[in-house]
Amino acid sequence: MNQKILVNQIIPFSNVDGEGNRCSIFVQGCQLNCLYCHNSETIQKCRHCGICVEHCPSKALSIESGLVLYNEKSCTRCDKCIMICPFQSTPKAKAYTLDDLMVLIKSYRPYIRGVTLSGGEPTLYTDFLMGLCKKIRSLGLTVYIDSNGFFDFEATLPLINNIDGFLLDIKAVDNIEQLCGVKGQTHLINLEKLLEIDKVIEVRTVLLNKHMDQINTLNKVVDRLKGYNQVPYRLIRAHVTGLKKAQALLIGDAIMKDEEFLAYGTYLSQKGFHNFKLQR
Amino acid sequence: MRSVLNDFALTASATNMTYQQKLFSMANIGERLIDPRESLGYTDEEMKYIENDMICDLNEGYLPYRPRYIVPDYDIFIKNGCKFLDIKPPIDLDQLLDGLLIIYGHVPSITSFPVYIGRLDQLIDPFIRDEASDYVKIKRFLNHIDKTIVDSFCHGNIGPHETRAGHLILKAVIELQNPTPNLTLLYDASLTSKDFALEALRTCLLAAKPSFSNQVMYQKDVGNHGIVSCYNALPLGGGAYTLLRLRLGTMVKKATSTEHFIETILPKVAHNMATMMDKRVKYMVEQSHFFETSFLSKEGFISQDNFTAMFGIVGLADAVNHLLKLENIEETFGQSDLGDELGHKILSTLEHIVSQHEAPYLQRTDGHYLLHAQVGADLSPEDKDNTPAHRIKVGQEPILPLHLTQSATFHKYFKSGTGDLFAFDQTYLDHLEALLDIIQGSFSEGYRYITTYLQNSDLIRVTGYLVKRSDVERFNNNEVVLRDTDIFGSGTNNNANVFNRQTRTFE
Repeated sequence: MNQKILVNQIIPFSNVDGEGNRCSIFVQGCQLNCLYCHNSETIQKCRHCGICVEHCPSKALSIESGLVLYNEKSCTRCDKCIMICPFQSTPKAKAYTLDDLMVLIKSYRPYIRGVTLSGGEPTLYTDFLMGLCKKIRSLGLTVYIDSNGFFDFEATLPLINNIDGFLLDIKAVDNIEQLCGVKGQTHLINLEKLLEIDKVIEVRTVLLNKHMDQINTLNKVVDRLKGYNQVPYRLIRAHVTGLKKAQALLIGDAIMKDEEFLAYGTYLSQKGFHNFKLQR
Repeated sequence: MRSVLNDFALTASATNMTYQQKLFSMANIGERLIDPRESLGYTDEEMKYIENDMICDLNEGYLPYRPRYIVPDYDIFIKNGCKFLDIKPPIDLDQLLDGLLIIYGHVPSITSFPVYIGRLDQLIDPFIRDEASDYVKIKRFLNHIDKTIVDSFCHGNIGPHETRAGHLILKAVIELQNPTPNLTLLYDASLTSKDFALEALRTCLLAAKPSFSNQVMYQKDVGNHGIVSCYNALPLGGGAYTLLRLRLGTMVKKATSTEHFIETILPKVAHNMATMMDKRVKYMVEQSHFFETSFLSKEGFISQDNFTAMFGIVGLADAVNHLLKLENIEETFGQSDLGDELGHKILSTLEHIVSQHEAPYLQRTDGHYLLHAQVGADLSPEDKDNTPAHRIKVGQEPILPLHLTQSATFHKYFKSGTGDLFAFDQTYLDHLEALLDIIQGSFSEGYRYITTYLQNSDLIRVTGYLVKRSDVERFNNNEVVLRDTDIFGSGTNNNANVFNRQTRTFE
């Protein structure tokens, strides 16, 4: 059991990753590359190029035998390394064994309802996470996975069977390649399959202009949610705060005005779909 | 600590006190002019520990003629009215609220303001007829308390059951944004509805109260009780005669080793505090004639049989930090396993000492004083070196889950009260269930009492009571402020930096 998983960060108490108080574990690595990604430093694994080392003001980074080393104690969390990284990565990701993670989760256990695996894209690590999820659930905690929806359903089934449900993104439909750099409709098919086996906690769509087919996406999701009244649909307004400069330049003019965003809620109501949440 | 004659002149000419504050301060100075060696029979040794600041008597005075905290059973008023005050049992909400306000004015305490005003929702709910008009009355009642009982140690309780009155009280608390009365929800997950608990939490984030008390645990340890003053759990229909406190952070300065502290200093000073408490209790019961003369005991609001007394401590963190230093360990209390071990050693030793001491007139708690995690005060320069209760020093706190787990292990010692408080960020307002998870988790880990507030609010919990930041600022600018607790708040913040507790955010 010395297998390790690369983790971008662990938030002991999160109130925004599913109901109740939850521990959120952000894995490193994602096969998508969405224009508005708010944690784009989770996309790639560190190449140990060393560019960040010289930019670290608190000397928390060093390079030894070709590997970038991170000293958590000296880090002031200024995030300069992340801002400077040209490869959408971070030198701060940390490898954990299953036991390492369980020690942490157990120490948070009295105060949380469950664990949410986020990222990055957790389904890239089906084998490792399946074992972790089994152990987490044996503590009486729930496990949710926050996923972009692009995974091989059959291959992921062992993981799916060991979690309580998905917080599933449907980021776009026709424009998905332009927005996220991925082809196909796997996410919609996976949504259907997960709904059938009662494994969807919530569907989410981030809304912005220009780069996505908003109404088409909403329609496709709502069509699939028919008959699943317990599953809410969360619409999230894209923001530029916290984005890297290049990203902000790219999508800055596509950010919706508040009233524009709210109109999509009105649209859903008019369609007769009411179980939605608006996150402005 | 004894007063000196000149204290009168200083008080009389103060520019930052109201008339009433001066009046009560004058009375208190008078009570401390007397030599307790004569009035109470304190020994020279006992006196030495007050004078060297190891024991703090919280300026209770040396002719104790009323209990420090009184927890009247206000149901007596509903049943019988009050003969002494010539009030009949209330038949409607107006008579109830009016009668309660009258009685509050006649409930003594160490500050002369009532520290317990009853289980408000239970008292009020049977009288609710029309929610809209009754709400106006409840809000006016609570506001009246804030402006006349000018001391935030005044404490009301609600729960554990959800009632219409409970909801109306919470609504008024949010609208009023007053420091007084302090408020606690007696929380029992099997009796308190989730909706009511969530509404109470929302109120707490928006108005810094109610706090949550672990009703199951306190009911087991204290029996029928009220949460009074800061967060003290005291027998209903009784209260506490007195509260003295050990300044552990001061005592430790004389220690040459951990062993020396725990085996020599601690037992010696603790014993002296217990015998001083005995003398205070005896005087109150045998010589002050309080229980024979007060209408509260004559008419059954209280009974001397229901009184206990509180054996307080402050400065556990400072004591542990000092011992760690003596042992050349570069860790601090709150983030040190060895520190926790030392903390438990100190408290379990103290628990043993207190459980061996037979105290007079304490039938209600089996003849023994109850340990109390005192929240601190600013009465001596030594208070800078004595962090409230068993709390971690501000600035040395670990992340929230570890902070909760660390502190939870210390709650068990303090049957007459302890509590911790946490500032949360705005996002929790939209995720109250997450906050309830944290509270329930803390109770399952052994918490007795927990309170929350938003870091950016004007109402802030100093240590157990509430003040308005803006009032404290005015006092610091040498202006007169309404509440004595605003003045305490200023001193405590200067010592303990409590206005800058770590904000708990999910990022």
